[in-house]
Amino acid sequence: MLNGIFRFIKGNVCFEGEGKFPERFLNLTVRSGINLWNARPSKKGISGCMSASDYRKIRPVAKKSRLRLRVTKKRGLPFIIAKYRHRKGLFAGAAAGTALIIFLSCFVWTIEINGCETVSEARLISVLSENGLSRGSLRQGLDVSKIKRDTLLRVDELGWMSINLSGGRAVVEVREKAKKPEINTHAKPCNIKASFDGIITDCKVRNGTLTVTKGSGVLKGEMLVSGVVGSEQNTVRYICADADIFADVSSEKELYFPKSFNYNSLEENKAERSRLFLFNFSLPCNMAYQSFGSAVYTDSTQSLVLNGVKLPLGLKTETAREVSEKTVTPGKKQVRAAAENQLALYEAFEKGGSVKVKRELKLTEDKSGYYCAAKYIFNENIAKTVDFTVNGE
Amino acid sequence: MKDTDRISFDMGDAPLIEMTSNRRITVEGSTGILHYEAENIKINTNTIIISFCGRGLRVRCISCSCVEVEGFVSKVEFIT
Repeated sequence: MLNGIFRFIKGNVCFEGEGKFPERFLNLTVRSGINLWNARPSKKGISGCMSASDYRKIRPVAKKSRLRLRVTKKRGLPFIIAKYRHRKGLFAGAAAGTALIIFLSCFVWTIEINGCETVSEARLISVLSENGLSRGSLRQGLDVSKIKRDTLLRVDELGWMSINLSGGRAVVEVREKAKKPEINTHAKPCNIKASFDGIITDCKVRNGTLTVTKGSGVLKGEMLVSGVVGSEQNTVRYICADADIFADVSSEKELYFPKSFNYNSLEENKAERSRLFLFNFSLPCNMAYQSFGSAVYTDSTQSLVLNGVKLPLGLKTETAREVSEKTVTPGKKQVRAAAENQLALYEAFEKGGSVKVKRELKLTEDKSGYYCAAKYIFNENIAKTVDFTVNGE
Repeated sequence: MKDTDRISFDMGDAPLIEMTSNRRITVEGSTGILHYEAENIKINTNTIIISFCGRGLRVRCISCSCVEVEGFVSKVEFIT
């Protein structure tokens, strides 16, 4: 195969020789140091192939052996170049294309991050960008070790990081630190008291003496687990009580909805402006402009993806949508739906650690608006650590 | 007593013929081609002339001292 490639680059010709003494031609050719291949005897003489440069020297040999040579085929790069020598644009285009490829390969085109579990990739990309590694950065100017060090200092959750530049791709491998277990370093003696009124449903005592039972009702501030423990030697020890005490706790949430209110509504009118971007350069695609009194602006980016790799080439669209103020008078159904939404947010964010046991919703209406009263029973951990001091006797 | 079991030959100028079945033959130590036809190729060496008979015979490649013949060889003759 290599032989074929070299022959193609040098150029070779296939010829036919007519004469009586093809053997003499072969012997003289070999003695002249000319390389000949595919020699076949033909009816009139001989046919074969040799390189184009050797064919120029074969004339005296052919004359000596009384052979008339005729070229049947010309193959190779020199002949292709000669054929297209007048097509200068072709060569200029090929050279420009090669130069463009070499130029574009000097930049980082994509950043691939592997190993992120709790750390967000967007945050890591942002930190890397601040430290010098981003799409469009010059590969030569990148100090990979420094970027690694600075990023590890900025992102505490990472324990190890590696940056590999492979062509136009930067592959970032990260490993997060193992989380430290929570250790109770509370040194002072303490009791566990109730933080809310409730009915005990479950007790998990790790340290201390339980003073309540399942099913008993407790008031806020009542002792649940004591930090005073008696020992077998009839002495008293003061420890830091540690327990989880779960109880059903009642609570109320009130919401108010006015009879009519103003809100900003999106209209149908919008104006879009698109820009084609490559790395940090952008070119406007359209100049649509429309002035709105009030508008909401959104940006969207669509990047070209090739073989699963996101390229730094695409379209950025800025959309301006008109906003107008409208007055709404909601009905009872709509108010109830709005109340459900708000209560769902309350249950998720404010009472995220509790389990909802029961909920009663009551909607009342008056002249000014609607009142929504929600009565809840949550099952939650009511244990609260309260320190106590021991006076020496 | 004469040692007649050991017989030695001086192989210094003799050609080396390598055959791959009857399809390809390499002759090292050749000095030129005496006859070149599709049915018969005669190769000259220092000591003997080797004649290959068959069909579709051709010289695959040739150099100063080595010739490679390809084709369907039916007979090899050594002419002194």
